[in-house]
Amino acid sequence: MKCRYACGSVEHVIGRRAFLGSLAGVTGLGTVGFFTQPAVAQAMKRQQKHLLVIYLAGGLSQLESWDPKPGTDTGGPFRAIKTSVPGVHICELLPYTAKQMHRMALVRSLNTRNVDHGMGRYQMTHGRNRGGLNVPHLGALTARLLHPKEHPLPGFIRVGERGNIKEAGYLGPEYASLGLPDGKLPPVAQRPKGLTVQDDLRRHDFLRRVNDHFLARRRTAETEAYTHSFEQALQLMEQQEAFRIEQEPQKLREQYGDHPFGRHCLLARRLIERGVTYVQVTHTNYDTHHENFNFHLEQLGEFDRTFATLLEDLASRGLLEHVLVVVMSEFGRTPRINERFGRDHWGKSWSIALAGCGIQHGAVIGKTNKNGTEVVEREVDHGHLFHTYLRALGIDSSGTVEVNGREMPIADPAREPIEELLA
Amino acid sequence: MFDTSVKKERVLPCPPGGEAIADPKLPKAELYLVVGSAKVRPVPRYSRREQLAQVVAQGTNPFLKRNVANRLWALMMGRGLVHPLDFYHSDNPPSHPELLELLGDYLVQTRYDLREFLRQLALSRTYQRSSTPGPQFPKELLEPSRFAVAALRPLSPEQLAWSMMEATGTTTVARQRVRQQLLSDPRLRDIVSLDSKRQRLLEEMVQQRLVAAWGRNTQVFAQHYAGPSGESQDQFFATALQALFLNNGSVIRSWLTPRMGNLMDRLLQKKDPDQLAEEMYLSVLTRFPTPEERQAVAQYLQGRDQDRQKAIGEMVWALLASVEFRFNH
Amino acid sequence: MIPPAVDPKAFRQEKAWSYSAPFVECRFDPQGRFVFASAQDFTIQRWELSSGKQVALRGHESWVRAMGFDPGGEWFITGGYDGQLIWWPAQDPQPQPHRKFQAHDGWIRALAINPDGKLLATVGNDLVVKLWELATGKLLAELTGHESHIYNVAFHPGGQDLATCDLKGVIKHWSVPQQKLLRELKAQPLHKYDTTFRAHIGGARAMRFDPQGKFLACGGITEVSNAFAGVGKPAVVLLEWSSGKQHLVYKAQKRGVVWGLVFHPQQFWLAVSGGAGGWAFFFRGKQAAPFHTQKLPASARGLDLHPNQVQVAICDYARQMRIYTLAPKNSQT
Repeated sequence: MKCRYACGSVEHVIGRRAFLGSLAGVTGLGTVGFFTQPAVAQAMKRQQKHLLVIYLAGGLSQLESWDPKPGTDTGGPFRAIKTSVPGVHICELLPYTAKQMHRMALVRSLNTRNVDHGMGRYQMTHGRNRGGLNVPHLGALTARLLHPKEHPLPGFIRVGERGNIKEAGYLGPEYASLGLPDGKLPPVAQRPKGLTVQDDLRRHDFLRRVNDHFLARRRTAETEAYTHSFEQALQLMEQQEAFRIEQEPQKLREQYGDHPFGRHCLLARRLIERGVTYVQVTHTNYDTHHENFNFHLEQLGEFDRTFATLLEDLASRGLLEHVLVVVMSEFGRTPRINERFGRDHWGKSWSIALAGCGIQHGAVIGKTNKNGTEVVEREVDHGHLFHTYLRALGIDSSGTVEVNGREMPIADPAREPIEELLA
Repeated sequence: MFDTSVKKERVLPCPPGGEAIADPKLPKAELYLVVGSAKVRPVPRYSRREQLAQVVAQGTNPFLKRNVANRLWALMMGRGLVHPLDFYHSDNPPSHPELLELLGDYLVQTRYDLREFLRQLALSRTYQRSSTPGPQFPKELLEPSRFAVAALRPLSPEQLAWSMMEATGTTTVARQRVRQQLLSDPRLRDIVSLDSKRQRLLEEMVQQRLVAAWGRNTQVFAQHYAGPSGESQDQFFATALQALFLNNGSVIRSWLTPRMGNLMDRLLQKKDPDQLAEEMYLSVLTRFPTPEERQAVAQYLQGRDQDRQKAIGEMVWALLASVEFRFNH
Repeated sequence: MIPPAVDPKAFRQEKAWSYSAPFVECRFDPQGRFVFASAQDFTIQRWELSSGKQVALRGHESWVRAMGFDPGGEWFITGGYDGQLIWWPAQDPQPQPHRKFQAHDGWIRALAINPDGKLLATVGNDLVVKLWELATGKLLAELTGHESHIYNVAFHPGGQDLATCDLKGVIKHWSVPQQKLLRELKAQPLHKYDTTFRAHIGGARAMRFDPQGKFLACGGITEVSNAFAGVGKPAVVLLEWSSGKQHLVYKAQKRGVVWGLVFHPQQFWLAVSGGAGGWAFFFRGKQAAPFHTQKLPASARGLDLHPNQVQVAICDYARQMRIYTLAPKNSQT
C-alpha cells in the first residue's frame, strides 16, 4: 500500500506550509485545540483546490454578456444592468449573475486571433495554439498536478460531453477525462444483474492472488498501472451516490433548473464536493450566426439562473474559496450584426468571466473601445489566462511536469499570469 | 491566424538532405497517365512523392533506415531503441546508437527485406531473454532501455479481443460450426478431400468467415484499449473504464456463458478440482497451474456446490483479467 | 371605388431613402402621408412620401418591431424591446412621445389595434397578452397561457377575436369581449426544436388576417436544417379561421425568414424575406409556390402596403427605406 500523505510531493509541502502560516497568523489557537474543531477538520480536507469550467459551446457573445455596448452601432437591442460591484455593468440577460458579481471577475480584453471552433476550443483549454507539442488539456494537467492518486473518483470529469483520450496529450490517457454525456455514470459502471457486490469482490480477491503469483517475479510501472485500474474501477462503483442528484433537496434542484444544464451544474457541485479536481460542464449552444438575440435570450435565460445558483451554493458551503470557476467559450462574436440578426465568429476582442478561488473579486481586467471592435487596454490571450488559472489554484505556472523522464513546461513559457487578476 | 499579407517566395520541392528538384513543365494534356474522375484514381506522369520515395530509400539518408529498424525492433522487443517511437529527434538519443546504426545498415544491405530482418531479431539473444529476472538480478539492469530482461508487452486491443475469444473457447466453437457449414456443400467436401493444400484452403476460408463474424468485437475492445486515433499506439495505459468494461461489459459475460464445447462447458464437466484447474490454466494462460494455484482453485470451489457454475465463471474471469493475460511475457 | 390597376409582375422600386443604421420594421400611416421605419439605432425615422422630408422619433431604448395606428392615423403606437409603449402624434411636424410607459417585462414583440380603434393588444417575452384602451392607455386585461415568447398578435376583422402566436407556433384564439381563451391552433411548420443546438426556432415573424377574416396568415421559417445558421425556407402558413385547420403552406425554394406579410385586395399575398439576401414572393390561391418571385437588393426587415394599394414599403438591412410600386408599367399613377 502506498503512503498517501507523507509523500513529500511539492503540492503537499506547499499546502502544509501555507496552512501552518494561516494558523500562526490568524487564529492564535493552540495546535491541539485547533485540530479538534470539526469545522476546521472540514477545512483541512478542503486544502485541495478545484477547477470548474463552464464551457459555453459555440462562442458566447461578449456583447450580450460580459461587455455590453448598448446604444452603439454594434450594441444590439439589449440594455446593460448594474451588478453587485459598483460601476460594473453587464448585459440585462444576466440579472441573477449580476447579483453575484462581487464573487466574480471579468477579463474584457481577450484577443486570441482565431475564428475557428476547433482551434478556439484547443486554445482556451490548452493555453497554447494547436500544433507542435502534444500538450495536455487543462483538466488532464490539473488532474495530474492536484488530484490525489488514491482518490476513488477520477480527477477530470466532463459533464454534458463525451470523454476524449486525446486531450491528455503527453501525460497519457490515464489523465484523460471521464465523460458523462447525459450527466450519468456510463452503463458500464453499473454491475449487471446477477453480479452481486459480494460475487464481484470475491472474484477480485481471486484475481489479486493470480496476479501475486506473476508479480512476485516481475513488477513494472505498467503492471502497477494495470492492477491499479481494477482497484479504481471497484472504488468508482462504490461512488454511485456522487452521481445521484436526486438526493439533493427539491428546492435546490428547482433553483438549479429542471433542464440538462441545471442538472449538470448540480452534479458538478456534488463531484467537486467529493474531491474531483476538474469538472467541465458544457452548455450548448451559442454559435448564433442567425438570430443571435433570440438565441442568447433563450440560452442565457437558462444559463443565468443556474450559474448564479451554482455560485451561491458553492459559496454557502464554503467551497467557493477552494474552487476556481471559469466561464469560457472558444471565442466571442462579431460586434457587427449580420443580415440574419446574427453575429459571427470573433477572436479579436472578447471576454471571459471567473469566480471563486485565487482571484481578485470584482476585478475587471482590460477594456475594449466604444463599440467593442478592438481591445484598447491590457490585451491578453489564452496563454495568459492559462497561467492565471494555474496560479489561482496555487500552482507555479512557470514550473514543469515530468513526462517520460523529461521536464515539460506546464504553460506557455512565452506568457505569464495576469497578476492584477490574482488575489 | 495566418498572416496573408506576407508574400512568400516560391520554394522548390527538396527531399530531406538533398538538392531541390524542379517540377518538369508538362503541357496540360500530358499531366496525367490516367486522368482521374469520381471513381478513378488519377495517376500523374510526374509525382513529387515518387521522387521522395526514391531518395529516401537510396540508403544515403540515415533517417529512413534507422526509423524502420527502430520500429521493427520495437515491434519485436516491446520498446524502441529510440523511445517513444515518434520522438525521433536529437534531444531523444537512442539507447544503443551503434546497434541502431548496424540494424539500419543491415536493412539497406538486404534491400529492406523485412522478413529477413524480423527473423534475425527473433534469433537474437535479446529477443529470447526471459521476462523474469532471477532473484539476484542487478536492479539497474531492470531499466527497460537496457533490454537485459524481456519487456512485458501489452497485447494490442485486437490481440486482447481475439485472445479472450480463443481462451474462452468462443472461437473454437464458432470455428467448428463454420467448418461444418462449409462442408455441408458436397462439392466443397470433394475438393477439400483431394489434398493437403486444398485442406489448408478450407482453413483459410474458415478463418475469413470467423473474422467477418467476430471481428466487430475487436472494435469494442479498441474503443476502450486503443490510444488516440492517428497517433502511435506505443504508450501503454490502463484506465478505470477499461477495468469496468471487463468487470461489467456484456461481451465478456456472454463469453463466460456455457455453450456446447466452449471453455465454461468443458470446465463444468470436470468434477475433479485438480483437473479443472489444469484445463482452465492451460486454456487461458497456456501453462499448467502451480501446486499453490491448484490448491487455490480447489479452495475457491469449496462450499460452492450450489453455484458451481458461477464460481468457475468467476475464476475464469479473474484469469482473463490478470496481469499475466494482459501482457505478453 | 374602382380598384387601382396592379400587376405583381411589374413590381419595382420607385424610390429609396438611405439611413445610417439597418432597419427593423416599417409602416405607412393610414392617411398615406408618411412611412415610418424603426432602425437598429433605437430611433424611428419618418419620411413624408411627397417631399421626402425626414424626421427622427426618439424615445425608445431598444429596437422597435411593434407598431400600429388608430384607424384615423392620428396616433402612432410603438412597442420596443425595452418593454415600453409610446403614443406619438403621427401627423405632428416633429412627433414627441405623448404617452410612454413600461408595458411589459422584457421585449414587446408585436402590437395590434382593433378595427374600431378602441383597443390595443400587445405581446412579448413575458408570455402575457395585454389589452389596453387606446385612447387612455389604461390596462383592460392580461391574458395568460402562452408557454414560450409570444411573437405576434392580430385582431380578427370582425373585432371580437384576437389571435396570438408564440415561438413554438402555438396560436391562441381569445374572445375579446369575454377576455378568455376560446381555442388553440397550431402553425406547426413554423417551429422546430433544433436538437444539435438545443434551441427552439420558429414563431410568426409576421401575422395578418385577410380583410374578410377567412384566413390567418403566419410568416416565418420552415424546414430548418440548421437553426444557428438560419438554413431553412421562408414560408407562410395559412390557417382557415372557421375550422382552425391548416389550409396551405406557401413556401419558397430560397433561404431565409419571412419578416413581412400583406394581403392585397386583388387576392394575393405579398411576403418579403431576409436572412440570405432579400426576396419578395407573391402567393395566390391554392398554389403553394409563389406565382411571382423577385430578388430584392438586400435582406428585407419590414413590409407594408400603402392605403392606395399600389405602393409598397420595404425597409432593409442595407439601411434603405425603399418604396416599390405595383402599378403596371406604362400606366399613370
